[in-house]
Amino acid sequence: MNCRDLEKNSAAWLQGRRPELAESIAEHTGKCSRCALLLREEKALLESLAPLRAEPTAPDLWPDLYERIRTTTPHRAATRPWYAFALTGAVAAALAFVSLRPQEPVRELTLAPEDEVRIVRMAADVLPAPDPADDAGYEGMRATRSARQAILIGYAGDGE
Amino acid sequence: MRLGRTDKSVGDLQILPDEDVLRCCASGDQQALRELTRRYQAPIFRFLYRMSGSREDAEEAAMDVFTKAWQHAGRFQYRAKVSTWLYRIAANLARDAHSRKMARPQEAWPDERQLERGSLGSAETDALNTLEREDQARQIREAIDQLNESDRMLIVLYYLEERDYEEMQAITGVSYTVLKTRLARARQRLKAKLEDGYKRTVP
Ligand SMILES: [Zn+2]
Repeated sequence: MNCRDLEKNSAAWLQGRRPELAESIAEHTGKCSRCALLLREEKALLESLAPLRAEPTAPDLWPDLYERIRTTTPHRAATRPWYAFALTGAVAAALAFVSLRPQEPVRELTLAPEDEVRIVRMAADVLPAPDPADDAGYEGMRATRSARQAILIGYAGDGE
Repeated sequence: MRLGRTDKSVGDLQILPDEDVLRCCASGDQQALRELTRRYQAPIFRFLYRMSGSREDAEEAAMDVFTKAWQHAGRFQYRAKVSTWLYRIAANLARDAHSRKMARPQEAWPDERQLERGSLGSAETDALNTLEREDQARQIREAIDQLNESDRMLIVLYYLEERDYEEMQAITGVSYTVLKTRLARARQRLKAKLEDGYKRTVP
């Protein structure tokens, strides 16, 4: 065990969640005074906090929650953000435009890097900031990527 | 309650891992939301109660957490644990609520006696005299309440809600080093507040 392992696991061990670490924690704190101090501080703090562990009972949220989602909260599947419709519309319009020119041979459209950057910026402009409810904030990045793909398809036709 | 064709039975849902329950939520299965709520309403409510000090506010915010989970289930990326995601939503709501509370006159922590009877837990605390325990708990609550919102959230998540470092990083969105530094600072500040409190009661 090193200092970082101890920092990450000392509270869990003191709370009885990692009993298997007893030996390695004793060994490390025996030779590392900084971690020994951390362990003492955390132990004292957890003892201070013990009275708060007398927890309030949680209410059963389901009856009210069910009423709420049934009556007022549309499910995500039924509520797409406005920009999704706008992008879908743009892609559909672009595809319709491409398909209305049947004589023209299908061509692969390659974009200059600066065009691609410009299109991605355009897409980023119409997209909202990442939603804080999304896990680890990845959704915004993913949405930007999808929009970019949608716009590139719209721009270039489906190419097939 | 009439279930949709895709809805799973309660028994089916109870044996599914969180991720699959959330996938069912994403497909609009209300029984799956019920199962998710059953699994996490207690810790999420407790966390929000510890952040706000108000049962009513915590209950309302906990409802909001599960409503948001229902609305956003289809956008979950399965990179984080479902529990981490729920705590993250709750942490954001707690921050918003705190900002609103700061705009209002300060409310004191509720007296522990206002809590429901029979809500007290472990053998350790049961062994203590009720009044003494309520007094101690109130002192600690006051100390925690005096911390800034960020310190309070770290203390509650790490020492009371027992979230590990990885989850704490995902919930708060900070790196390991930043988290370590902030946690140490929060610990020192709480220690100082607790010592102040004891000095006031034992002159
Ligand atoms: Zn060390």
